[in-house]
Amino acid sequence: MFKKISFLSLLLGLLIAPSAYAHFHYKINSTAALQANDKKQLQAIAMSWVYDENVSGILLRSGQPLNELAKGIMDDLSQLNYFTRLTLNGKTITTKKVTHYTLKKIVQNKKNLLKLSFVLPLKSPLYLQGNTLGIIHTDPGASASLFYRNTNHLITGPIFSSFCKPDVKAVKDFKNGEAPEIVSVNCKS
Amino acid sequence: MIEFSSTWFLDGFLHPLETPSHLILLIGIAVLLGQQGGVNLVRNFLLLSFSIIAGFVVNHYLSPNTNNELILLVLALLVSLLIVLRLEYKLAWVQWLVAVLAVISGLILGLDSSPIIIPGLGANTFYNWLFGAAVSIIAAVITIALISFMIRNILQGVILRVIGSWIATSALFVLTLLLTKTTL
Repeated sequence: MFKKISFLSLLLGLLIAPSAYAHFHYKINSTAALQANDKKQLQAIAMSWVYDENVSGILLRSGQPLNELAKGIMDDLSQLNYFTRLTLNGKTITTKKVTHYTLKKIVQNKKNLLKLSFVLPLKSPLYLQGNTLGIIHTDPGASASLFYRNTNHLITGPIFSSFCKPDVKAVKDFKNGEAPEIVSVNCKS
Repeated sequence: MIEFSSTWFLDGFLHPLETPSHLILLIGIAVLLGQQGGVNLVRNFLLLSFSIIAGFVVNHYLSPNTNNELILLVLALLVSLLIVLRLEYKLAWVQWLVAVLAVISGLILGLDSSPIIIPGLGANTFYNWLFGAAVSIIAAVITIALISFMIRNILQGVILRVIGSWIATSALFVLTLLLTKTTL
Protein backbone atom coordinates (compact mmCIF):
# COMPACT_ATOMS: atom_id res chain seq x y z
CA MET A 1 0.00 0.00 0.00
CA PHE A 2 2.79 2.40 1.02
CA LYS A 3 4.58 1.68 -2.24
CA LYS A 4 1.47 2.45 -4.28
CA ILE A 5 0.87 5.72 -2.44
CA SER A 6 4.51 6.75 -2.95
CA PHE A 7 4.38 6.01 -6.68
CA LEU A 8 1.07 7.76 -7.18
CA SER A 9 2.21 10.83 -5.19
CA LEU A 10 5.40 11.09 -7.22
CA LEU A 11 3.58 10.60 -10.50
CA LEU A 12 0.92 13.13 -9.54
CA GLY A 13 3.58 15.65 -8.50
CA LEU A 14 5.47 15.27 -11.74
CA LEU A 15 2.30 15.61 -13.78
CA ILE A 16 1.05 18.65 -11.89
CA ALA A 17 4.42 20.42 -11.90
CA PRO A 18 4.51 21.32 -15.61
CA SER A 19 1.00 22.78 -15.57
CA ALA A 20 1.85 24.86 -12.52
CA TYR A 21 4.99 26.23 -14.18
CA ALA A 22 4.72 30.00 -14.12
CA HIS A 23 7.27 32.74 -13.64
CA PHE A 24 6.61 36.30 -12.74
CA HIS A 25 5.53 38.35 -15.74
CA TYR A 26 4.22 41.83 -16.09
CA LYS A 27 2.87 44.10 -18.78
CA ILE A 28 3.76 47.61 -19.78
CA ASN A 29 1.50 49.66 -21.99
CA SER A 30 3.79 51.69 -24.19
CA THR A 31 3.41 54.81 -26.27
CA ALA A 32 6.14 56.13 -28.55
CA ALA A 33 6.36 59.48 -30.30
CA LEU A 34 8.95 60.25 -32.97
CA GLN A 35 10.86 63.49 -32.44
CA ALA A 36 12.42 65.40 -35.33
CA ASN A 37 15.12 68.04 -35.51
CA ASP A 38 15.12 71.16 -37.71
CA LYS A 39 16.40 69.14 -40.68
CA LYS A 40 13.37 66.83 -40.41
CA GLN A 41 15.60 63.99 -39.23
CA LEU A 42 14.61 61.55 -36.50
CA GLN A 43 16.64 62.57 -33.45
CA ALA A 44 14.88 60.83 -30.57
CA ILE A 45 11.88 58.77 -29.53
CA ALA A 46 9.81 59.90 -26.57
CA MET A 47 8.39 56.91 -24.74
CA SER A 48 5.74 56.58 -22.07
CA TRP A 49 5.39 53.30 -20.24
CA VAL A 50 2.47 52.57 -17.95
CA TYR A 51 3.27 49.64 -15.65
CA ASP A 52 0.51 47.16 -14.84
CA GLU A 53 -1.26 47.37 -11.49
CA ASN A 54 0.78 44.61 -9.86
CA VAL A 55 4.22 46.01 -10.65
CA SER A 56 3.08 49.59 -10.02
CA GLY A 57 2.03 48.44 -6.55
CA ILE A 58 5.32 46.61 -5.94
CA LEU A 59 7.34 49.65 -7.02
CA LEU A 60 5.22 52.03 -4.94
CA ARG A 61 5.44 49.77 -1.89
CA SER A 62 9.25 49.90 -2.07
CA GLY A 63 8.87 53.12 -0.10
CA GLN A 64 11.28 55.15 -2.20
CA PRO A 65 10.41 58.70 -3.17
CA LEU A 66 9.35 58.88 -6.84
CA ASN A 67 12.47 60.76 -7.96
CA GLU A 68 14.75 58.17 -6.32
CA LEU A 69 12.67 55.34 -7.72
CA ALA A 70 12.84 56.92 -11.19
CA LYS A 71 16.62 57.20 -10.96
CA GLY A 72 16.89 53.57 -9.87
CA ILE A 73 14.65 52.43 -12.73
CA MET A 74 16.59 54.40 -15.33
CA ASP A 75 19.97 53.21 -13.97
CA ASP A 76 18.81 49.60 -14.22
CA LEU A 77 17.17 50.13 -17.61
CA SER A 78 20.36 51.65 -19.02
CA GLN A 79 22.05 48.29 -18.30
CA LEU A 80 19.25 46.58 -20.21
CA ASN A 81 19.29 48.94 -23.23
CA TYR A 82 15.95 50.36 -22.07
CA PHE A 83 14.29 47.09 -23.23
CA THR A 84 14.52 48.68 -26.66
CA ARG A 85 16.28 48.01 -29.95
CA LEU A 86 15.70 50.42 -32.81
CA THR A 87 16.33 49.34 -36.38
CA LEU A 88 16.43 51.10 -39.72
CA ASN A 89 15.71 48.67 -42.55
CA GLY A 90 16.62 45.86 -40.17
CA LYS A 91 19.98 47.33 -39.08
CA THR A 92 20.36 48.32 -35.42
CA ILE A 93 20.48 52.05 -34.67
CA THR A 94 22.78 53.18 -31.87
CA THR A 95 21.14 55.17 -29.11
CA LYS A 96 22.50 57.37 -26.34
CA LYS A 97 21.97 57.33 -22.59
CA VAL A 98 18.63 58.71 -21.43
CA THR A 99 18.96 61.94 -19.50
CA HIS A 100 15.37 63.24 -19.53
CA TYR A 101 12.84 61.17 -17.64
CA THR A 102 9.93 61.45 -15.24
CA LEU A 103 7.96 59.02 -13.11
CA LYS A 104 4.40 59.86 -12.13
CA LYS A 105 1.55 58.24 -10.27
CA ILE A 106 -1.56 58.10 -12.44
CA VAL A 107 -5.07 56.71 -12.07
CA GLN A 108 -6.47 54.66 -14.95
CA ASN A 109 -9.74 52.78 -14.70
CA LYS A 110 -9.69 53.38 -10.93
CA LYS A 111 -6.25 51.72 -10.71
CA ASN A 112 -3.18 53.41 -9.23
CA LEU A 113 -0.45 53.00 -11.80
CA LEU A 114 3.04 54.28 -12.46
CA LYS A 115 3.88 56.05 -15.69
CA LEU A 116 7.51 56.34 -16.74
CA SER A 117 8.27 58.84 -19.49
CA PHE A 118 11.66 59.28 -21.09
CA VAL A 119 13.33 60.45 -24.25
CA LEU A 120 15.61 57.95 -25.98
CA PRO A 121 18.03 59.97 -28.14
CA LEU A 122 19.70 58.57 -31.25
CA LYS A 123 23.48 58.77 -31.45
CA SER A 124 23.18 60.32 -34.92
CA PRO A 125 19.99 61.82 -36.39
CA LEU A 126 18.56 59.86 -39.33
CA TYR A 127 16.45 60.60 -42.38
CA LEU A 128 13.41 58.37 -42.33
CA GLN A 129 12.14 59.01 -45.87
CA GLY A 130 12.45 55.85 -47.95
CA ASN A 131 13.23 53.75 -44.88
CA THR A 132 11.46 51.57 -42.32
CA LEU A 133 11.98 52.16 -38.62
CA GLY A 134 11.56 49.18 -36.32
CA ILE A 135 10.98 49.34 -32.57
CA ILE A 136 11.68 46.06 -30.78
CA HIS A 137 11.03 45.78 -27.05
CA THR A 138 12.45 42.77 -25.23
CA ASP A 139 13.32 42.12 -21.58
CA PRO A 140 16.47 39.97 -21.20
CA GLY A 141 14.98 38.68 -17.93
CA ALA A 142 11.85 37.54 -19.82
CA SER A 143 9.56 39.20 -17.27
CA ALA A 144 8.29 42.35 -18.95
CA SER A 145 6.22 42.46 -22.13
CA LEU A 146 5.64 45.83 -23.77
CA PHE A 147 2.49 46.41 -25.78
CA TYR A 148 1.34 49.22 -28.08
CA ARG A 149 -1.97 47.44 -28.90
CA ASN A 150 -2.66 49.70 -31.90
CA THR A 151 -1.18 52.49 -34.01
CA ASN A 152 -2.80 55.16 -31.81
CA HIS A 153 0.12 54.58 -29.44
CA LEU A 154 2.75 55.04 -32.14
CA ILE A 155 2.78 58.76 -32.85
CA THR A 156 4.66 59.90 -35.93
CA GLY A 157 4.13 63.61 -35.20
CA PRO A 158 3.61 66.53 -37.62
CA ILE A 159 6.95 66.16 -39.44
CA PHE A 160 6.80 62.46 -40.25
CA SER A 161 3.03 61.88 -40.51
CA SER A 162 2.93 63.12 -44.13
CA PHE A 163 5.10 60.28 -45.41
CA CYS A 164 5.29 57.70 -42.61
CA LYS A 165 2.74 55.07 -41.67
CA PRO A 166 2.85 53.41 -38.25
CA ASP A 167 2.12 49.70 -38.00
CA VAL A 168 1.59 47.41 -34.99
CA LYS A 169 1.14 43.68 -35.56
CA ALA A 170 0.53 41.30 -32.68
CA VAL A 171 2.80 38.24 -32.60
CA LYS A 172 0.71 35.13 -32.11
CA ASP A 173 1.93 32.82 -29.34
CA PHE A 174 4.98 34.94 -28.53
CA LYS A 175 7.27 33.43 -25.91
CA ASN A 176 8.35 35.17 -22.72
CA GLY A 177 11.30 37.39 -23.44
CA GLU A 178 10.29 37.87 -27.05
CA ALA A 179 8.67 40.99 -28.48
CA PRO A 180 4.88 40.53 -28.34
CA GLU A 181 4.34 42.88 -31.29
CA ILE A 182 6.09 43.86 -34.50
CA VAL A 183 6.21 47.62 -34.28
CA SER A 184 7.33 49.60 -37.30
CA VAL A 185 7.07 52.96 -39.01
CA ASN A 186 7.09 52.64 -42.77
CA CYS A 187 8.33 55.80 -44.49
CA LYS A 188 8.74 54.37 -47.98
CA SER A 189 5.58 55.95 -49.35
CA MET B 1 19.29 48.63 1.60
CA ILE B 2 18.03 45.11 0.93
CA GLU B 3 14.82 44.18 2.69
CA PHE B 4 13.00 40.88 2.93
CA SER B 5 10.25 40.64 0.31
CA SER B 6 7.77 37.79 0.62
CA THR B 7 6.71 38.26 -3.04
CA TRP B 8 10.20 37.65 -4.42
CA PHE B 9 11.11 35.08 -1.81
CA LEU B 10 8.00 33.06 -2.71
CA ASP B 11 8.64 33.47 -6.44
CA GLY B 12 12.18 32.13 -5.99
CA PHE B 13 10.94 29.44 -3.61
CA LEU B 14 8.45 28.12 -6.17
CA HIS B 15 10.85 28.23 -9.12
CA PRO B 16 12.60 24.87 -8.58
CA LEU B 17 9.31 23.22 -7.57
CA GLU B 18 7.50 24.46 -10.67
CA THR B 19 10.27 23.75 -13.17
CA PRO B 20 10.04 20.10 -14.29
CA SER B 21 13.76 19.59 -14.96
CA HIS B 22 14.72 21.10 -11.58
CA LEU B 23 12.09 19.11 -9.69
CA ILE B 24 13.04 15.80 -11.29
CA LEU B 25 16.76 16.30 -10.60
CA LEU B 26 16.36 17.50 -7.05
CA ILE B 27 14.08 14.55 -6.21
CA GLY B 28 16.57 12.24 -7.90
CA ILE B 29 19.69 13.55 -6.20
CA ALA B 30 17.92 13.67 -2.82
CA VAL B 31 16.79 10.04 -3.14
CA LEU B 32 20.32 9.03 -4.19
CA LEU B 33 21.89 10.84 -1.22
CA GLY B 34 19.39 9.22 1.14
CA GLN B 35 19.90 5.79 -0.42
CA GLN B 36 23.70 6.05 -0.10
CA GLY B 37 23.21 7.45 3.40
CA GLY B 38 25.66 6.78 6.19
CA VAL B 39 28.37 9.25 7.12
CA ASN B 40 28.44 10.53 3.55
CA LEU B 41 24.91 11.96 3.69
CA VAL B 42 25.91 15.16 5.51
CA ARG B 43 29.09 15.60 3.42
CA ASN B 44 27.23 15.13 0.11
CA PHE B 45 24.42 17.40 1.24
CA LEU B 46 26.92 20.15 2.13
CA LEU B 47 28.67 19.68 -1.23
CA LEU B 48 25.32 20.04 -3.00
CA SER B 49 24.38 23.16 -1.00
CA PHE B 50 27.68 24.94 -1.61
CA SER B 51 27.55 24.00 -5.30
CA ILE B 52 24.10 25.57 -5.64
CA ILE B 53 25.43 28.85 -4.19
CA ALA B 54 28.49 28.59 -6.48
CA GLY B 55 26.10 28.07 -9.43
CA PHE B 56 24.20 31.25 -8.49
CA VAL B 57 27.46 33.23 -8.40
CA VAL B 58 28.78 31.83 -11.69
CA ASN B 59 25.41 32.46 -13.36
CA HIS B 60 25.33 36.05 -12.14
CA TYR B 61 28.86 37.00 -13.16
CA LEU B 62 29.46 34.86 -16.23
CA SER B 63 25.98 33.86 -17.52
CA PRO B 64 27.39 30.87 -19.46
CA ASN B 65 25.40 30.09 -22.57
CA THR B 66 24.82 26.39 -21.90
CA ASN B 67 21.74 24.25 -22.44
CA ASN B 68 21.13 23.83 -18.71
CA GLU B 69 17.75 22.12 -19.06
CA LEU B 70 19.26 19.37 -21.21
CA ILE B 71 22.13 18.88 -18.75
CA LEU B 72 19.68 18.82 -15.81
CA LEU B 73 17.60 16.08 -17.43
CA VAL B 74 20.60 13.98 -18.48
CA LEU B 75 21.94 14.28 -14.92
CA ALA B 76 18.54 13.25 -13.55
CA LEU B 77 18.60 10.23 -15.83
CA LEU B 78 22.07 9.26 -14.65
CA VAL B 79 21.17 9.79 -10.99
CA SER B 80 17.98 7.75 -11.31
CA LEU B 81 19.84 4.87 -12.95
CA LEU B 82 22.26 4.84 -10.02
CA ILE B 83 19.27 4.69 -7.66
CA VAL B 84 17.90 1.70 -9.58
CA LEU B 85 21.31 -0.04 -9.53
CA ARG B 86 21.63 0.58 -5.75
CA LEU B 87 25.40 0.43 -5.80
CA GLU B 88 27.29 -0.59 -2.66
CA TYR B 89 27.86 2.65 -0.75
CA LYS B 90 31.03 1.38 0.92
CA LEU B 91 32.94 1.26 -2.37
CA ALA B 92 35.30 4.21 -2.71
CA TRP B 93 34.48 4.87 -6.38
CA VAL B 94 30.76 4.92 -5.61
CA GLN B 95 31.35 7.47 -2.86
CA TRP B 96 33.35 9.60 -5.28
CA LEU B 97 30.75 9.27 -8.03
CA VAL B 98 27.91 10.33 -5.73
CA ALA B 99 29.94 13.30 -4.41
CA VAL B 100 30.79 14.43 -7.95
CA LEU B 101 27.15 14.08 -9.01
CA ALA B 102 26.06 16.15 -5.99
CA VAL B 103 28.51 18.90 -6.95
CA ILE B 104 27.55 18.93 -10.64
CA SER B 105 23.81 18.79 -9.84
CA GLY B 106 24.14 21.73 -7.42
CA LEU B 107 26.16 23.75 -9.90
CA ILE B 108 23.70 23.23 -12.77
CA LEU B 109 20.67 23.86 -10.53
CA GLY B 110 22.32 27.14 -9.48
CA LEU B 111 23.31 28.03 -13.02
CA ASP B 112 19.76 27.53 -14.28
CA SER B 113 18.28 29.79 -11.58
CA SER B 114 18.01 33.27 -13.02
CA PRO B 115 16.19 35.70 -10.77
CA ILE B 116 13.58 38.08 -12.01
CA ILE B 117 14.79 41.64 -12.07
CA ILE B 118 12.40 44.55 -12.20
CA PRO B 119 14.31 47.70 -13.09
CA GLY B 120 14.32 49.92 -10.02
CA LEU B 121 14.15 47.04 -7.57
CA GLY B 122 17.17 45.16 -8.92
CA ALA B 123 19.08 44.25 -5.77
CA ASN B 124 15.97 43.65 -3.67
CA THR B 125 14.23 41.28 -6.08
CA PHE B 126 17.52 39.59 -6.98
CA TYR B 127 18.62 38.58 -3.49
CA ASN B 128 15.14 37.71 -2.20
CA TRP B 129 14.51 35.53 -5.25
CA LEU B 130 17.83 33.68 -4.90
CA PHE B 131 17.29 33.25 -1.16
CA GLY B 132 13.86 31.71 -1.85
CA ALA B 133 15.25 29.39 -4.54
CA ALA B 134 18.12 28.25 -2.27
CA VAL B 135 15.80 27.60 0.70
CA SER B 136 13.40 25.68 -1.53
CA ILE B 137 16.04 23.41 -3.09
CA ILE B 138 17.85 22.75 0.19
CA ALA B 139 14.63 22.13 2.17
CA ALA B 140 13.30 19.76 -0.52
CA VAL B 141 16.59 17.85 -0.68
CA ILE B 142 16.85 17.55 3.14
CA THR B 143 13.26 16.31 3.44
CA ILE B 144 13.41 13.81 0.58
CA ALA B 145 16.93 12.62 1.49
CA LEU B 146 15.94 11.97 5.13
CA ILE B 147 12.79 10.07 4.11
CA SER B 148 14.84 8.07 1.61
CA PHE B 149 17.49 7.41 4.24
CA MET B 150 14.85 6.03 6.62
CA ILE B 151 13.24 3.73 4.07
CA ARG B 152 16.40 2.75 2.18
CA ASN B 153 16.48 -0.81 3.52
CA ILE B 154 12.74 -1.55 3.48
CA LEU B 155 12.00 -4.52 1.19
CA GLN B 156 15.70 -4.73 0.39
CA GLY B 157 15.58 -1.21 -1.00
CA VAL B 158 12.94 -1.98 -3.60
CA ILE B 159 10.87 1.12 -2.77
CA LEU B 160 13.69 3.53 -3.60
CA ARG B 161 14.68 1.54 -6.68
CA VAL B 162 11.15 1.73 -8.03
CA ILE B 163 11.05 5.46 -7.27
CA GLY B 164 14.35 5.69 -9.16
CA SER B 165 12.76 4.03 -12.18
CA TRP B 166 9.90 6.54 -12.04
CA ILE B 167 12.37 9.43 -11.93
CA ALA B 168 14.16 7.93 -14.95
CA THR B 169 10.83 7.67 -16.78
CA SER B 170 9.94 11.26 -15.93
CA ALA B 171 13.36 12.53 -17.01
CA LEU B 172 13.10 10.63 -20.30
CA PHE B 173 9.57 11.96 -20.83
CA VAL B 174 10.60 15.61 -20.36
CA LEU B 175 13.84 15.05 -22.31
CA THR B 176 11.84 13.70 -25.25
CA LEU B 177 9.54 16.72 -25.14
CA LEU B 178 12.58 19.00 -24.99
CA LEU B 179 14.34 17.36 -27.90
CA THR B 180 11.18 17.37 -30.02
CA LYS B 181 10.69 21.02 -28.96
CA THR B 182 7.24 20.32 -27.55
CA THR B 183 6.20 22.75 -24.82
CA LEU B 184 4.44 21.50 -21.72
